[in-house]
Amino acid sequence: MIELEHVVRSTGGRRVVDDVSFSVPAGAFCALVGSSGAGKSTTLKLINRLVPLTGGAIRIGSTDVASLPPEALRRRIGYVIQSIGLFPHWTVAQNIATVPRLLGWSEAKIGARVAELLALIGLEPSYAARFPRELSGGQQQRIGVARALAADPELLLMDEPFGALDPLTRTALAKELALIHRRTKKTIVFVTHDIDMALELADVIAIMHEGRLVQFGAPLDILERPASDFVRAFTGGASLGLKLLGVRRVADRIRVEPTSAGEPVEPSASLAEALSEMVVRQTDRLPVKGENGAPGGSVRLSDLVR
Amino acid sequence: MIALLLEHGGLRIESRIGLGPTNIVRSAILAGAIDIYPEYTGNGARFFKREHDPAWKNAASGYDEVRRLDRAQNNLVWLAPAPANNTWAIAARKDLAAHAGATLEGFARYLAGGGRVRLAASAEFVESPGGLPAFEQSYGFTLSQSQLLVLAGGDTAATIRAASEDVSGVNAAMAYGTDGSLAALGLSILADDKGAQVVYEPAPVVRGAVLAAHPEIAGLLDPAFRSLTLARLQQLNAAIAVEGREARAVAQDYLMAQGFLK
Amino acid sequence: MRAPRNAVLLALALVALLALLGSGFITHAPNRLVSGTPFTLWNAPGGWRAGLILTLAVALAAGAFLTPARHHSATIVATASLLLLLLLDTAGVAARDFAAHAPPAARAGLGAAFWVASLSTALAIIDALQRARANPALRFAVALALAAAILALAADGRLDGLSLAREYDVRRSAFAAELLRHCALVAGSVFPALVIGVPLGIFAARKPRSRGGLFAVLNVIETVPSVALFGLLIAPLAALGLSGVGPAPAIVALTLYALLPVARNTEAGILAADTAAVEAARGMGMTTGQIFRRVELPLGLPVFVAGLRIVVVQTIGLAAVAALIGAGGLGTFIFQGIGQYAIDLVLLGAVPTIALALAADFALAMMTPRMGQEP
Repeated sequence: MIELEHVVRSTGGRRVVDDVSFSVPAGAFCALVGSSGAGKSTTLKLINRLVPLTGGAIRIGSTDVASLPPEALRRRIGYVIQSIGLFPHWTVAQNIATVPRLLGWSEAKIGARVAELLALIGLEPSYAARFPRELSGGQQQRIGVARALAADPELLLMDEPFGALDPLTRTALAKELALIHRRTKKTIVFVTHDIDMALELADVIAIMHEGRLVQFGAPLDILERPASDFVRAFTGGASLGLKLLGVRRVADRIRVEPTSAGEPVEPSASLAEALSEMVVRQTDRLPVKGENGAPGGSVRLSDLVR
Repeated sequence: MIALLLEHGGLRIESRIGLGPTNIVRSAILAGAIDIYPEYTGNGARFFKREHDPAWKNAASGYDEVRRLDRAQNNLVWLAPAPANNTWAIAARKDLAAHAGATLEGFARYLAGGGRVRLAASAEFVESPGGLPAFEQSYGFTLSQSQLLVLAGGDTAATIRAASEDVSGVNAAMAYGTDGSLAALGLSILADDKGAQVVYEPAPVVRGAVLAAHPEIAGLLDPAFRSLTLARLQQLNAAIAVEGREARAVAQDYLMAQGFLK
Repeated sequence: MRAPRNAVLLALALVALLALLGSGFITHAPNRLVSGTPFTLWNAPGGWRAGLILTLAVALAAGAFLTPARHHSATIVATASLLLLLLLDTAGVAARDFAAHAPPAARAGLGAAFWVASLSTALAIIDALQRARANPALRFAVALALAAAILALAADGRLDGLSLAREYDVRRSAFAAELLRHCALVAGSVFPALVIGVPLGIFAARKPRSRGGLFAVLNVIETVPSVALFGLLIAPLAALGLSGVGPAPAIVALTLYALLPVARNTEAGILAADTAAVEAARGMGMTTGQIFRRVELPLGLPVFVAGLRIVVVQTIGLAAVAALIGAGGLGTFIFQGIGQYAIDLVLLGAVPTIALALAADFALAMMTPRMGQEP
């Protein structure tokens, strides 16, 4: 749905983004990762033209981003930033309604949408009349996400959105974002320097280093077949195995056999979660929940290391 | 008074009262920006740079001199002056006057005899050759630094008050001849019998062209000005300074009482 | 004995009491030029008044021990207001009484005790309103009520005996004219300063590299003493054919003085908009104009209006100096009074100037927009 073709961005004689090409399928969650200065934020901003393109082309659907007026383009794209940037003089409801207002929606439509989004991000309707300064950082960023989704854009761009929050809130919001992604099926491009969060949330990961794209693929791909030593080191080095466990699913390792006793685990759970349960229950075999009423199977400790 | 009299005479007046000090109004009339204003005859010494001409120390000769010069050089006409000398003077507090008498001669004698004097005055009065030095020369006395209290600005209100309330031991003050507050504050002027000072009589000065166009101006102003003796001016000034009445009201009452205004 | 809840009120009340007991409430002078002899509160006529005044002052001191509940604050405001009005009325009655037995030139003035006690009482009212967290509407109502009461006292002629009133009486029309002229000077300088200064401030905010030079120049202008600036303007204005004295140079100088605060506060106002908010606004698709109108302006306006308050109050004060060069205004009375050494005439100029500044400050504070408005 998004295509970057030989995208280049130069400034001051230096190539900040150097011949980057990749393609994100519709509805996918794409994480753009790399260390500081890798060019990932810049690449993101090239998509909504906050930074002008020096070379190459970017297409959303079949539309070249350069063909639209920048404001019109941006109103079709949801944008969430690290510093959150809620408008302090507007209520939560007014903040969320920003782009719909710019697009001229009716008050009734706006009101309904605000209520819908508050429910989506898990906040009570009473929050609509509050002001940003009354909210915690985590709540503010949730409003930020709601605001980005307000006009129902096809694409969501997120630039290290949880970077300014404490680790606990960060984890909680990441989980919520995953849920929102599943529910709304939006295409998301998510910049982060945290490879673990990328591995957790993304369908496809683009790893950048010094302006160049070094690898692009599914999390499992990247872990099992790193394209270079840099990628190997970046994705986890010594704890690679544990990360693999985190990415692989129980469903991939089910044995069809009579289930053992105990609370069954979900097939969608990661192998890391299964391992953790095994340690806690002091067993080497866990029952797995069946799908649609069908009997499940089990997963064994020995299968985890295959 | 000038404004009231001219208006009464049927002329339309544009008032610039309160424009500024002497040099401002003098430049204004020379430039034709204003048409008439009251000036002191003695200031002719400054205007025409003839400070050492003894003619200025006499009322009549001073008036004639400035009238002649201004008419010739600037086409400005001096109308009849008021017989009131608003010159620099030294005023003594009651207790000092009791010892020194009513004249500067007596004052000089008292000083010579070791009397205690402290004079409050402006810097200009103390330093200008026409001020205190002129008195000292004529009457043969000198005031030392400790016998002087020098104040900023030429305002006699401050010097008079200092003497009246015995501020820093002051018992004499620089004053002007027509100061109205002297009596009320218990001071009296020491007479300058030897005429050490330049005579400053107020008179209306009008641009020649304007007087030619309205010759009745002289007739309207002359009698009123001639009626303003020193005593009368002191009383009028007292009404303003001491009683706090408004200048225009005081002027109007006087002119009506004298029959110049109906 | 409990510790006082409101140490400020206690201090103010005690100061007022000490002043009332120790120094002159009313002064008597044979004329307006001589310093008056002070008379203490109980030597002034109207014995029951002195008692009531002292009682009220003691009551205020006692009020310092009350708990900070809203109705307690209301009581304190009421008591202090009553005390203030009573002080004023008593001074008026004492002056009138004195005038009845004295020659017309004699003057009854306000003594140190009056000023200290009145100021302390006024501060106590402000303090009580502050502690009660009174909203702007309530403060306005209290101020209005007090002002109305004082004007009623004056209109009823109860203050006519005071020397200040006598000075006013003699020059009523001149006072009205100069008051109007003073307001004209202020308005005539603040508006041009806004017209020039606001764009300068916007420029400085948008182009940070220029702000160093710009503010350096404005700072230099600001530090030139007012009288010196008037003098410096005479030559350039003469070259332009304008008079070096009168309202023209005054307005030029006052406008120059107002430029720095206006430009600085405009810049601060624009920068007040959180960069994150502006960044988000841009990313969401607002045009530059929309960002200015919907984000920067509403966030910057409170800062700007706060600066406007400062500018107006400053200009009201400086306009008093403009009288030195013949521009008129309330300063005329101040300088006349200094020249004649009549302090009451000085007060006739100074007190209205202060009142004007306070009123303007109050009005603009009421108008300062609060956060959380409609987009």
